[in-house]
Amino acid sequence: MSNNRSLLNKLRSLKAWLYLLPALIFLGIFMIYPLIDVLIYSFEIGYNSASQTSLGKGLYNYAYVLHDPYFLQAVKNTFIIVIITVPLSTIFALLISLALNSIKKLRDLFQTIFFLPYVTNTLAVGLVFMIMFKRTPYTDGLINLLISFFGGSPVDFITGPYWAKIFVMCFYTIWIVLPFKVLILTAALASVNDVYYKAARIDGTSRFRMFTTITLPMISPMVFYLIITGFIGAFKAYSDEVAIFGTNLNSAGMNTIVGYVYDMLYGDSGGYPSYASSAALILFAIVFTITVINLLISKKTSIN
Amino acid sequence: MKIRFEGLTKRFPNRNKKIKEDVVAVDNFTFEIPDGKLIGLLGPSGCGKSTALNLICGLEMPTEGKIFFDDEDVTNLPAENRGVGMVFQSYALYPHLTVKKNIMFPLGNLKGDQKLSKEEMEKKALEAAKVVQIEELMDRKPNEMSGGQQQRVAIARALVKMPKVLLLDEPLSNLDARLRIQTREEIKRIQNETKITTVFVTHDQEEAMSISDMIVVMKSGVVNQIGKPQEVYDNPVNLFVAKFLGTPPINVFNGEIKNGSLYIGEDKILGKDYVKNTPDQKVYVGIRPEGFIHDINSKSDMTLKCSLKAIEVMGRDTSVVFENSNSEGKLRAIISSDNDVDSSSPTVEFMVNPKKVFVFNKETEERLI
Repeated sequence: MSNNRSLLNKLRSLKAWLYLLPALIFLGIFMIYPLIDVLIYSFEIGYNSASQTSLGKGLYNYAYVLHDPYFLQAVKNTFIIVIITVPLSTIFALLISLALNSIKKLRDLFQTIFFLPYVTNTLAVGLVFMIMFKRTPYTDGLINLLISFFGGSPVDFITGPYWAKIFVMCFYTIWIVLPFKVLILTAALASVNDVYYKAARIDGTSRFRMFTTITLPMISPMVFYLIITGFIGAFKAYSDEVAIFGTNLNSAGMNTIVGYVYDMLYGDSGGYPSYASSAALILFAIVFTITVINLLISKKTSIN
Repeated sequence: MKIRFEGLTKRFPNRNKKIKEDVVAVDNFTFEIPDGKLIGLLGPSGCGKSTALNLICGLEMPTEGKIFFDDEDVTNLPAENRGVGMVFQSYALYPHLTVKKNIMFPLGNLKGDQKLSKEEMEKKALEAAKVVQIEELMDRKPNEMSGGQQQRVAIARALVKMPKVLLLDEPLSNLDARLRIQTREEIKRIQNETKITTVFVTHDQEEAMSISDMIVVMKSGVVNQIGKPQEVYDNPVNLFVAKFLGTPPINVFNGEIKNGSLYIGEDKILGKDYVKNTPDQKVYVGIRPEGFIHDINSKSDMTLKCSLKAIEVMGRDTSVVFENSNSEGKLRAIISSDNDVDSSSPTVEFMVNPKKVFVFNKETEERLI
């Protein structure tokens, strides 16, 4: 009897593995294998992908990347974008969702409007931002016209001072990530059972206290989800930068870590898979650390 | 605190937009709930009883009419200023807060000179918890407790601010049968101890009858009858109330008043001293299950002849299931268990207790006798 049963169990688990096989094969070929490969490249000095040869093994690639001023600039840019855009976009999204949630008429219409940027192509939005911010020999751009109208002096946002470029970048990033966050948060807000607010109202709770002690804790899993994915997304920023500043990000001083990796592989100064691999792994380490910290914080808050 | 309604009416636009006519959830309530009593608001689902409760607490505003707490007109007072405590059907405990924090929650809303220190709040919360006997569960989260315990926490949270009125919306509907009986006695005890005017809504007549000082029977927004449970049971004003109260339910027959006597089909069941001066007409006859008398030795000519279907022995008494051509479906009589009914006989004859027989007008369904 027991023999029979154990055989049956084995068969069952075999079946389960069989079902998992297609996914495992794909993950293995396109994720695990490249990851291991990248790890190996990052320790191989002067790896040549054409001849598949290297000069030796060691930490030289990491040392090179960490001393490369372009990489340091990319790290700085990335961190500034992350630190500014993740909290701001989450707060804006929360405010917009609260507003959407409190209106009854035309809510669907506004929800659609706020979601539209999400289905718009990043590069198309980038083009619009270019038109709004870029100074050309013919025009100062829409934003500069506005600034002049209110008595300010025009700023060159695309090729001008660093802070102006960062401003455009952050503005753009927030704009791009906002719709998804609004969507998730409106859904989260709508899922809070109305009876809690009724109970709170009968007890004479102020709007502010309702928000801080009922709404926020109840939607906190979603907020944390957005913060964590927001961090990961912002650290991986690249296409947004290209959309506004073009492909030569290093000369614009607006490169990001992913941009640096790309340039090291395919850019004008490219052809260095080893450096690219080390940079990618450094990015991985950063994202991993931040995500772990985020998860720890979210766990701690949800317990209290 | 007394609660008084004057012509209180609440209309909602019809959900089905094709129907222009509004739904009247609460229709012209005019009555008074006496101070310090436990009132059961009773009716089938969708009869507007929860709306009535929401009007009292201020979550809904009436279309017409007024509500008074004692002599103060609170009709336009928002919910937060009415000082009522409410227990929701789903309890509405904040899932992320501990029992203690849930109970303390209403106290945190006090402003100005009423503001309490943390110690005072904890003390009051503990007092409220003691009333409902959950003081050892103060550090649990709602999802770590049983339904009955959550229910008590909800009551404690409603009691902690010493409300003038306590409202309970279907307080027992989420509990299992045994817990329900236990909890309803608990509610009665708490109400007795605190002397807070309490209104609770239920569709379960047994629940309402067993603990209320007064019941209000509602049907489609209209109050049908108000009174002490026993009075309403013994003296229903119409067929609806008679049918709604009592388990097993009242047996309803098509009957007739003929020559000053009450007939069901060909059987004369009650004579002139019962019918008195009611004119001859077709009627509905309601007979409570306990109103049937089975006595083989009786020589009375006034019996109801029925076909016997089954006999269910329940220990204390016996339930006789039978059918009659003047009534639809199975009928039920409850007689004393020392009464021998011949289960092999295809028929059974009953006399009736006139106090348990009610006669209703065929059209209006209002009570005649």
